[in-house]
Amino acid sequence: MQKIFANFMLRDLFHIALENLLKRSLRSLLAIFSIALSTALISSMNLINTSLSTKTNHSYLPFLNLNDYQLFTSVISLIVCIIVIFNSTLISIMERYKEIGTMKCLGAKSSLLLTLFIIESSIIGILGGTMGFVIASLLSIPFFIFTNIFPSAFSYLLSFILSISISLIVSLIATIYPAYYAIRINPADALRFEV
Amino acid sequence: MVYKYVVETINLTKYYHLGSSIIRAIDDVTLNIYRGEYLSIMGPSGSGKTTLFNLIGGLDKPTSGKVFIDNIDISKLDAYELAWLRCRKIGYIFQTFNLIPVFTAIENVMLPMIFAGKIKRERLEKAKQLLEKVGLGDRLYHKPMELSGGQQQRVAIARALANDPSIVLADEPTGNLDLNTGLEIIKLLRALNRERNVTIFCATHDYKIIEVSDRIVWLRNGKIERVEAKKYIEKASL
Repeated sequence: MQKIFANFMLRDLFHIALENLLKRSLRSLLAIFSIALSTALISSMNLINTSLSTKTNHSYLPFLNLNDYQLFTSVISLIVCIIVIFNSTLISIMERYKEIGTMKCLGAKSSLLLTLFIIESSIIGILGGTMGFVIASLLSIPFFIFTNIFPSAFSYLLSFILSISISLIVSLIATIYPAYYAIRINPADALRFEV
Repeated sequence: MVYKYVVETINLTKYYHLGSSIIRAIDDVTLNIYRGEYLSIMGPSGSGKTTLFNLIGGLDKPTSGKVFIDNIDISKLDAYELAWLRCRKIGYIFQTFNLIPVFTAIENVMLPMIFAGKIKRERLEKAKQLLEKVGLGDRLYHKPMELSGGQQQRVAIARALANDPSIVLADEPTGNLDLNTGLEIIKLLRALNRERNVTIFCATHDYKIIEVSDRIVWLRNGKIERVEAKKYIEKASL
């Protein structure tokens, strides 16, 4: 019974999250695109390194299969990406200040709101990761044709998993503070708030 | 167990610090609200109506004093329990309607029931029934932007009744509406009060509401100035 109840809640929350993302479609697209670009960078380098069997020198992050300078550029791109998503999530929560206050007033628990924001950022993360992987595989095709070495299906799969997990982690990191901010909203203040 | 009073406040006080001065928004208010009555709080702006609304609604913590809702002392509750209480015991109606703009009317009414964990079939049925009750049976799938002010307030009233609360708190329900629409909303609230025996607590400075209220509490500078009872509640216990 508890399980069924939880499923119902999740489906409703997913619906709410999707509506919220669609309402701010341009901003959501920007966030997705920024994640996609930065994961595409990592994913493409990973694909190329794997297919060429390039010797990489990282023993502590072997799954990334990147060189020093590649790791450096990836980290920079991920930081930029976190800032972009942080910004857009924070703005979307500020915009919904009154809405969140109303939901709290109607009896939404903090855990429910937190789940809502996690779902929203996961949607962005998964879409961004998938898009990033697609961009990476498309962009690396000319390279593989040129070198005439093609990566195996397995390395494609690994690269896909890598890009999805990186983008999920990035989008979740970027949502920590905005979600914390939203949970601390005092409903009495929010109701007085005029946009 | 049904208690005679839905809400009891005992020496309720709320101070705000504004710079170095202290504003006594609510000053030693003791008030009992009977089950099934229509109570209006009247007073000029700044007299503490909204503060009282927030305190009774569990949205704000009092500086001192107590609020009991169905004999539950809400100052003792933590955030989780307060959310539970707000969800099931209290319905809110606001001046600015505060509907969720991305949802249709029926989804807005279903929202408190989602928070209460009701299953979908129950939610749909109840929301339809409530919206028909407030006269919006043909507007179920319209978003707030596609509804007029009066219709939005009707949706908000349906939403307030979604979990069959013990008390409905209304903060200037007619403040953003024109004369006729306001009158319709007041009549609707009165009808719901009579038919479903819903207790209504209405903070307002709309004199149209006086005619339909059972009891009117006049508030001035955070204190109860006088209480006017109508009809059967002659001995307004204060």
